[in-house]
Amino acid sequence: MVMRVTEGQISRMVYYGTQNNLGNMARLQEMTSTGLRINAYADDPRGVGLVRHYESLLTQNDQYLRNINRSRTMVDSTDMALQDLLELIRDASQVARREVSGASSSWQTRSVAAAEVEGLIGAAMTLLNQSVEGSSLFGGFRTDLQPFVRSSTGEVQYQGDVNRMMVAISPNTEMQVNVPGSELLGSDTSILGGFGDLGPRLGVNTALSEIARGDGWSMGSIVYSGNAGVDMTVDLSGAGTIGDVISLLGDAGLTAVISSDGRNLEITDPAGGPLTIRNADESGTASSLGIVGSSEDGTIAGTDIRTAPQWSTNLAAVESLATALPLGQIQLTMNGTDVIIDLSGSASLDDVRTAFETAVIGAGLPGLTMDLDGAALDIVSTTGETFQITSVAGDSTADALGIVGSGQPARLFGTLEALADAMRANDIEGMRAAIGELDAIQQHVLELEIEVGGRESMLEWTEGLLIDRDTRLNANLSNVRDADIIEVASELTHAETAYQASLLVSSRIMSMNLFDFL
Amino acid sequence: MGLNRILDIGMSGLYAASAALQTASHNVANVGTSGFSRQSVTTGTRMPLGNSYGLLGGGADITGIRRLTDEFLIGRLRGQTAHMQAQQQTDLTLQEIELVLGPAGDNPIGTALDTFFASWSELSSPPITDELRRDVLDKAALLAGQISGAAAGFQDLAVQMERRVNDSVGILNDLLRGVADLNGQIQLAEGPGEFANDLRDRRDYLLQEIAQLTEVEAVGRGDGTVDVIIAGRTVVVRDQVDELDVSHDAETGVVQITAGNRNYPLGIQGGEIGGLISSLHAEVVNTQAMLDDFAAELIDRVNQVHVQGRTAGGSGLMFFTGTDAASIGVNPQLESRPDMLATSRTGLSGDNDIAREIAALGTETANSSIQNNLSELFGTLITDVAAAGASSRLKLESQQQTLDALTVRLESVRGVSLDEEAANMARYQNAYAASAKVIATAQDMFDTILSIF
Repeated sequence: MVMRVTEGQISRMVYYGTQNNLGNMARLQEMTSTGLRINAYADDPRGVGLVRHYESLLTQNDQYLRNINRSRTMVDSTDMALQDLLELIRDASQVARREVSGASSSWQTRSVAAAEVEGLIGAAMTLLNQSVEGSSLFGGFRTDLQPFVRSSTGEVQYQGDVNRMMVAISPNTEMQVNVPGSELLGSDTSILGGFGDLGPRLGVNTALSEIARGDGWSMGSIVYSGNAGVDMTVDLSGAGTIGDVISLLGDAGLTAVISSDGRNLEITDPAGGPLTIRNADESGTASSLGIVGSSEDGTIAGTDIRTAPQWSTNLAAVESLATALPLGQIQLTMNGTDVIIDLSGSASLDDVRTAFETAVIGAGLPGLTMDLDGAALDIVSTTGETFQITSVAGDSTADALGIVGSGQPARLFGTLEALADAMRANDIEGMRAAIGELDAIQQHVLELEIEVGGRESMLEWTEGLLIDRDTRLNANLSNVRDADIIEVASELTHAETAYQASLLVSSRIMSMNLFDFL
Repeated sequence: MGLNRILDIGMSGLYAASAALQTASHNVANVGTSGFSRQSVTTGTRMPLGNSYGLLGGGADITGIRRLTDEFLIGRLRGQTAHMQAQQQTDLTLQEIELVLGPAGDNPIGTALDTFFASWSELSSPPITDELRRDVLDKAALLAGQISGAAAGFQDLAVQMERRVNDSVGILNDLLRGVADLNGQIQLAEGPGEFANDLRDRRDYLLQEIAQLTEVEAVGRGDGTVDVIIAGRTVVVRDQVDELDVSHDAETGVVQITAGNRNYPLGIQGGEIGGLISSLHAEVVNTQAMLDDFAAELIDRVNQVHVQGRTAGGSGLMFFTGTDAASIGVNPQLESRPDMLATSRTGLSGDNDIAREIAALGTETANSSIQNNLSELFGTLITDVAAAGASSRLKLESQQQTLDALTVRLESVRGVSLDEEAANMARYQNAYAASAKVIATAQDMFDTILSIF
């Protein structure tokens, strides 16, 4: 049966159809007027979650950027303070050097210099007591205190702590933004600077490139004049070892031997004195072999040209240990603990080091390491603790190895104060010691400054990343949230056409009925 | 017998055509009446007159006026209407929930949450200042305000929905009384073989209105009345109504509809009332619970970290007070003493570990999952609501389509077609004219006979 078509039916269908079209248009209209693709949760539930997610990430990203800006104030101020501090230490060190070796230095100039150093101490305190927005830069967590104050006895004291402030500067990255003043009190490393002279004896096979503590020789010729008073040139450039030098000099009519203590060469003119040896040219070959000089009796004892000790150096080859072999024991005092370390099984310097370091760890103490510093052994603690090494009664081992003494961190204010005191007391040795420490502390501050400079680049770099991330997140957010206006406009035109068409057609149909024709 | 009979037959034709024309006019007049079913006049032949030569036809009789409709379609339409209305109500509720939670972009709670954690991050980046502490407290107050505001919004929504259930049940009772009245009128009006068409249309219309409010079945009795059954309970028998009541358990928030015995609530699911009750119990309560859970997580996690802190003024206080979305607030002790806001476990002025840890609670990091990032946790809350909204919108669209199709089909059966009525009118006009001609012819015949005299 054909379906009946009634007016009510047509009007309903027209109504539903136009409602649909109108609804479409309203939806598109809303998109254009708000510019948003999601105007109700139901438009895109996944999109709703994503919009929230991206907005949240954007806020976080923004906060990281703000944290970076805030941190930058601290890091930059720290960096500038450290640079100024470096200048200041250099100044102090220069003053000290001038007063130690200057031709015109006297106790009067030194007392003036002492005042100068006092001034530098004050300047350093001002630098390190800086604050940002009321917070001390160098106090560790004690931002509420002036980190450096003078005690009742006039010494500079640190009243901050050792803590590091961390700031989140990007997802997963926290960066230290401060330098606690404790790190400026001195270096972290306590060094017992050894005084040993552990260079091995010279031998005929000693390479010329290794002599003079590794400085090597200057290849070339020497000139000597014997009792005939005639200058003779000996070309030594073909020599590779001490033995070669001895034989080349022998060929030239001179007797050369290694001294009995193995430190130097001894040159004798078999024809008797006088004998003079000098460099043939600027290359200074004779100087580098330590044999420049003149002698009435025809024998020139050269200067010490031993090589630097190596870890592999055999103890038996070390002249200064001759009377101490075999090695015995030394005593280490650290953290209130006394430890006797037995080095007797050692055949080489490496054995000494191993025995020492193993014994320290075995005693449960923070690690100490043994370093070779030129001809001497140094003992270093990287934890900044003080320690002492003493001889065991009746045992010369510690003295022979040159490691008796105490390891202390290099101090900033302590050293400056000691320097000023030494200057006032006209104590040149004290001033020298202070210069050594100042050099160490300068190195330490430089390292800190480099680290802080690294933080500045880290901030810079992270900021760049975050700005990129911001752009990307905004693009993602816009993709999810915003309406594509061009697309919406074209859809809107389409919907309009459909709406008009449905209105037109229904108006034609509805305006007609049979009554018109009867 | 004879000419008078011709006149009678002519008259019967006139009557029949006139009735048919009246009915057509009635149809045309009601072309716009909702719920109107078109009517048609049924006619039959009169008892013939027996003659020696056979039965002579006696003209036409109006046997009845039929109402053309489809009870089956009407029943389905009611069912579908109830479904659709319930779904529409759920959809409206979800839209209301969305209004309470705020828009997807720049969501007020989400934004307040992000800025709250950002303010902690800001506080954690040295130098730590009192302005920054104050800022954290301001942002916290804003966040707590947004959350408790939403909780109050849900509370309002629930109250409004209960009120609407009450109103709707009132309307429903009116409608049921209307049906019962019509039952009575129809019973009186209808004799054997007679139908009170317009009253029945009116009753169907009322039943359709009831279907907007709840699922409803109408079961006809032989006497022309219908019993009305709502959610399995018969509430109208002839002209008797068992009115519905709303009960609201203030403790559990459960809203129930009862009729007669209050111990057995009706499980109404359809129509506006069903939709209101079910979306109140499901969507609103669930979203409230999710918001409460979220607020509780926020309070717990922030407090857990903050109480570990120390300040110059003492050990860490609770940061937030309250236990859920409605009660969340910033600890008033902190409001009056911002210096009690802890940024660290040591209490030292430059330490910031507590501030960093709290900031991290709302921050995405490599090892943070949705579960341990409060920002994301809130994101899942609104995504859940959005997903429910989208699925409801889809259901609503398909139900609307079904309803439209049924309405159109019913209109097709019972609606008035003007074309049809025009054709009918022409037909009955002709029939009327023809019957009049019969009378005129009979008159002529009378005249002819009379002229003999």
